[in-house]
Amino acid sequence: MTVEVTLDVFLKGVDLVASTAFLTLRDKMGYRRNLLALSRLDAYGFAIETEDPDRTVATLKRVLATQSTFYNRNKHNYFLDCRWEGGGTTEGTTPEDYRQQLVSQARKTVLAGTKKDFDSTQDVDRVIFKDVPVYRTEVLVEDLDPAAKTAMARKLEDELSAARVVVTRLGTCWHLALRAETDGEAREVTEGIVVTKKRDRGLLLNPNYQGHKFLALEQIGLGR
Amino acid sequence: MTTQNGHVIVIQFPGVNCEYETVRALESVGLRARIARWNARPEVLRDAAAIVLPGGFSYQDRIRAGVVAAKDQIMDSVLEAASRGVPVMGICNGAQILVEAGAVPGYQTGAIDLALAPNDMPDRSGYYCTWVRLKKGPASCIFTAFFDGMQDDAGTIPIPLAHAEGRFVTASHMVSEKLGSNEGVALLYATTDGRTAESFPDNPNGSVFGIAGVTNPGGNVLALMPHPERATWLHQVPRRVGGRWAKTRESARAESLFTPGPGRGFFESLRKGLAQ
Repeated sequence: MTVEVTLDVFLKGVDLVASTAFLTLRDKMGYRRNLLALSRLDAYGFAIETEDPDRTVATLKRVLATQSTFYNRNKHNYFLDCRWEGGGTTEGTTPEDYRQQLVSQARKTVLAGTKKDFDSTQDVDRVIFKDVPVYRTEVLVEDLDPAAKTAMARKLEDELSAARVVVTRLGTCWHLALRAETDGEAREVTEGIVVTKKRDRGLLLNPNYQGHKFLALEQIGLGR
Repeated sequence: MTTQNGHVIVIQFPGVNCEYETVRALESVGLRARIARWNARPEVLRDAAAIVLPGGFSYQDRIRAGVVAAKDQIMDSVLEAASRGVPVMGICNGAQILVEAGAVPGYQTGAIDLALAPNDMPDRSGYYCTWVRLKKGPASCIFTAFFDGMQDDAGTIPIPLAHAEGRFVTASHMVSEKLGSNEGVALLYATTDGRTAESFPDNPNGSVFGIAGVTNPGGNVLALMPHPERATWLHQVPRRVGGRWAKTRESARAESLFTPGPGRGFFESLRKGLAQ
């Protein structure tokens, strides 16, 4: 039986890497209008072959909790999702919580740009956020070379005493909130931000050793 | 072209940590050098005789080493100066900045054709600090053209390096072919007997074709990962490096410890190149 594991890890405090990327894109690369929020998490995915999913998942949780390879509870939040035929378990900060943090950051960015005072939240929603078309995109950045995935799979096989582990995700997942009119524009702006093709185009990955894939692209509202 | 009247400008990005010893290394060969901050007015580079981007951790290596500094406004002026033929050298983090700015290898103007990816080392990862051997590559470059006399019998010099992201790599078939035919390859990691180093530890990061330094087609821009400014004086050379330099260091008296070390050749070569 195969247990599909998703593990997302992110900092509890301020993520200076994401903040630097956000400021670089807005202040140095011309994305002041489009880019409203940016955050990132460490993304892991495993497919574990096992005869006893409950025991394997319990062992995995013990390994995760007692080692700092994947996260450190003192400084990281995480979301762990394990699924197998006929069962599953979830723990940690949910993707919806994480999504709300991105929306909150985007709201602050839009508000900071208005330079207006409002009497109530309703006014803010009615006047400012009503007509701001915002997209949320998610992009996974991984190394092209699979060596790190292979090494991690071997390590997990030892730790879990599992027959076979395949690492399906190992990289950084960037979450973006963008001002865009259409799906196509949102995708184009995201590609422009992510893939470094020229000095003034792209920041988050260097295509000479990294690749990317879109995990999500959806229109969202900033109003409450 | 360049003028001897100007200073060599060493650019201090936030987080670099080798700017002062780089100035001292430049001054050791008689060049006038001074530090300019990353947010200085662009005019500071107008009359620069040469520009050096020193080593360190600009912007704390956030996102990727060198990529944030590559987007700084002063890099517009650096690239403009490079296009006029002004010599530009990036050492370690400076090399990472030049690569992320598309200044090398320069086969296609402005394209990011290379990366300095995380080190690829057997049974270890991350930051690695050691002495390696370098030899000149076939590509001519103002920073290496005149450093003959510094090499030992095998044609190599010992030099220190310290980085976590120093593996020259490309995803482009065209760029790989050109590098494979040594176009733009100014410096190579070498074994003690002078062969190009293909594997760890002589090739300390897994760079393709053993590349340690890449130049542009004009030969006035050099991105190199090792630190020549940390081998400018003989006293900086450890006895364990072997070869001629170890013997010289072993037999040196106190007064000769401040005679030139192997890394000084890069700065001496620049001085001679500017004088021509």
